[in-house]
Amino acid sequence: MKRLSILGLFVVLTISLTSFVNKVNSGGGDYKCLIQLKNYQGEGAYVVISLIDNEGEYVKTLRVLGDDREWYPDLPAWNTFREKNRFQPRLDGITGASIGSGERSVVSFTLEEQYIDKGYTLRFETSVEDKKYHKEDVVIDLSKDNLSKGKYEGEKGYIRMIRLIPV
Amino acid sequence: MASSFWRYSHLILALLSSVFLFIAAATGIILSAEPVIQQAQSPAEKAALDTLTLSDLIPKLKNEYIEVFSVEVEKEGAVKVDVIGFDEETDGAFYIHPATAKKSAEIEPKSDFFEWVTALHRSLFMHNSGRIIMGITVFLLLLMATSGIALVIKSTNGLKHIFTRLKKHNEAQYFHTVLGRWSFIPIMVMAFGGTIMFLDTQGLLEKEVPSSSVKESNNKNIFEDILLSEVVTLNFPFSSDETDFFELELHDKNLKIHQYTNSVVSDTPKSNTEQLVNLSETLHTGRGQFIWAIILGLISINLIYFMYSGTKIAWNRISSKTRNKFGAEDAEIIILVGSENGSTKKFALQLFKALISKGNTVFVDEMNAYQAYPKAKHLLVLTSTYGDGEAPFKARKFLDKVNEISQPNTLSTYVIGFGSMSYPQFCQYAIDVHEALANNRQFDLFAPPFLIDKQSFTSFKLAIDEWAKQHKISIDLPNEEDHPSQEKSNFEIVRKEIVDDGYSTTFTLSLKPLNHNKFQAGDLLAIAPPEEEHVRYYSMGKTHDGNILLSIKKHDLGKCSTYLFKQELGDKIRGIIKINKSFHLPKNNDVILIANGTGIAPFLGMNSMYTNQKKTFYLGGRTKDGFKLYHHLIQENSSKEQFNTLHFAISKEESECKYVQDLIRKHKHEVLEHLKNKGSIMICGSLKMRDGVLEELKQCVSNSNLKIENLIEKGKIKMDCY
Repeated sequence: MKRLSILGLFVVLTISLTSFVNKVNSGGGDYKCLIQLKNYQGEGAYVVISLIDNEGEYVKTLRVLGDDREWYPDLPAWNTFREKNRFQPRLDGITGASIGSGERSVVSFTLEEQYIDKGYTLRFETSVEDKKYHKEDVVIDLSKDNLSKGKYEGEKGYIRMIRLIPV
Repeated sequence: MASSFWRYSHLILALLSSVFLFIAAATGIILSAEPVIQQAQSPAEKAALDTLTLSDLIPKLKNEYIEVFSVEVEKEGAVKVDVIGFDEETDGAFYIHPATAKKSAEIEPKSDFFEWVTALHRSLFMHNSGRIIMGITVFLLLLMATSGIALVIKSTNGLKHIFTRLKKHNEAQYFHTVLGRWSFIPIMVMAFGGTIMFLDTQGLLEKEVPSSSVKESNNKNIFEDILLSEVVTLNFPFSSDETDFFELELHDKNLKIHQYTNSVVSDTPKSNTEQLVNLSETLHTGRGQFIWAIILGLISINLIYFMYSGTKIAWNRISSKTRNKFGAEDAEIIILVGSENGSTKKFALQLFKALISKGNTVFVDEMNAYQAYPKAKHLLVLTSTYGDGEAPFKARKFLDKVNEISQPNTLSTYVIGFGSMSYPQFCQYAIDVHEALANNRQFDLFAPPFLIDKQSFTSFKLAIDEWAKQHKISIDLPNEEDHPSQEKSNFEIVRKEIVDDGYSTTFTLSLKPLNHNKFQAGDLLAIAPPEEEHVRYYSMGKTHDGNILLSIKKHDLGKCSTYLFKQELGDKIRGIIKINKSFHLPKNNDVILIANGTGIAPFLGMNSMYTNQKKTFYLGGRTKDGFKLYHHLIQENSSKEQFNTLHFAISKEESECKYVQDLIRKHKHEVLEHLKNKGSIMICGSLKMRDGVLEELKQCVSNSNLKIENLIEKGKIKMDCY
């Protein structure tokens, strides 16, 4: 009985360990992502997180931070994709409020394993009312190495820092 | 500062902002509904917020969900979380019950309609340029409210009297001022909030960076001390790394809290600017304060009314400006106007037209523009009185100029004052002008100043006709209200009685309406003699069989009275009945009815109305015979078990009381009791009698807290005098 339970414990441990290792190894799975903005003068920033393929084309929209469609044309590259792409499910479920200057927001999304180490990137696109538009505020290569860093500084845009860790 | 400064800035600001202000107000009405709806729909559990602390909530959240990102307590009192849950249903952002941390409701997506209206309200769909326009508009509103209240203070003679009863002479003006007084403070608050929000979006507010203080670790669990109602947002540490903290925003400060010890690591108070912007947002939008939101909606409706009534007031003022055909050097008749809001000017304009059309050379100007008039013979001064017996703004320099400037000719002068008897200083400025001119040799005063109550055109016409007759000036002053559209009705003479008391001839006519006309005693009958357009108004009594009773004094030169005098039984005349609500018998409480001469007419008929009411008559006439005409009517009424009391004053015969005013003096205790018991007084007859009676009434109430002006204003004293 005791042996059985030890065996059971061992099995559980192995399974969970392998699954953990798998996750880390593959790089795919659920992530939580913190977006910390700089202190700039102006309204809340609209931030769109998209998955981009190795050709630089939009694959899908992961998150939209900013819920007033009035302003979407201020993110022209993504907006063209949004208008073209009628097959993508509605944005309702992945849309949240814009982020104010100096504030932060945490979101979660899934990165499927198929996109890892294939030249895909995660693009953070930002825009602030009557201010500069940043098509590539922060870009994160979806490679296992890069994902294991977990922390990415923004330079030219409104984003100070992105943090990305598996859930 | 002068009221003209305030008035012009008020008008110019209104013009500048009109279109945008209209859009802002109209959308503002709609948007004020949003906080009310939000409040109604919000899954708020306010009571729980005041009892639960963060240390109650946080462990429950951690149990309930895989990962918690943030907790937000909305202004309406609902608790919102952003989490990763164990299933689809409890994943993402939604509302929770604060006591259990379980999901209570979905977050409704923002209404497209309100979003659309908000964008229009905030920026006219023009992004930042629109924001600037609307920002300036709201700032102009702030200035407009200021200039508006300055005007009110000016015209009520100082801040102390700001809420004194306003006299109602012009509906638009009255409500503009009344609503202005009440909505001033909310408008200021709302406009101030809007201005701050605008400055904030433009980055024009100075943002001092508050210094944060680093706290020594004291291992105190801060969450135990913080009620949910104090929380704005709580961001959970992003990772289990010790350098990731709880970030807690309270209403007045931001805290960083150690995620293992729950002790405060750093404390940053919110800057004053930040708090001001937060407050401004609440004040301007009403978010989370639905009662205030309702007030905001009401003042938005108010703003639209202000635009309407303000336009009307401005239009009145502009339309009463006139163009002279003759210069000041050429005119024989000079009309000078002292008008505060243009209504007096309207009279001057009509007078001007009536004189010009008959070939007179007339020049109209405001009193301040007084100068030498080389060819002038006649001077007419039409002036209102401002505030507490002062000169209206456009007449302030008049008396000084009169002393400085000498006239080539002596001017035959007549002063006509406009005012409201409900002011204690009724027409005081006109009286002052009259006295000043009477003491100046350059002026030959025609008669005592003629004082007109509540812009009565009938009185004005009477005064002007008399003046024109005396000076043999031909004039054709039209009646104010000819109703060409209104059908004339036919009336048959069914009774005629004549009394000659040796001084004048008075007669009564009973008219049977042949068309179905509704009327009551106190209404007016407009009659024009044949081949004449212009009507005369007669106060009507009503006989017990429902006929009209007119009481008319025959003037030898009076066309209309001569025409009516010629009518015999069975003859038919045409006329228009004009309802005159301001002289209807009050339904409630007792009434004293005072009349002299033919002024008794409207009272005949009133005496048989509302039988439960005690009526006391004070009647004046020249001779006892004069009352013969009415005797049978009075008799008829007393035979119906009504206890109407009658008192007579006879002026030309031996009598204890000569005039009705004497009767009032004699019965002053009864009159005072009557007024104290909320009784009414109705006065009909000559202006002279009216003034005498009002003087006596003032004496009656002098030792009580009643004021005659207030009684007139409240309609407790009604007058129909000529």
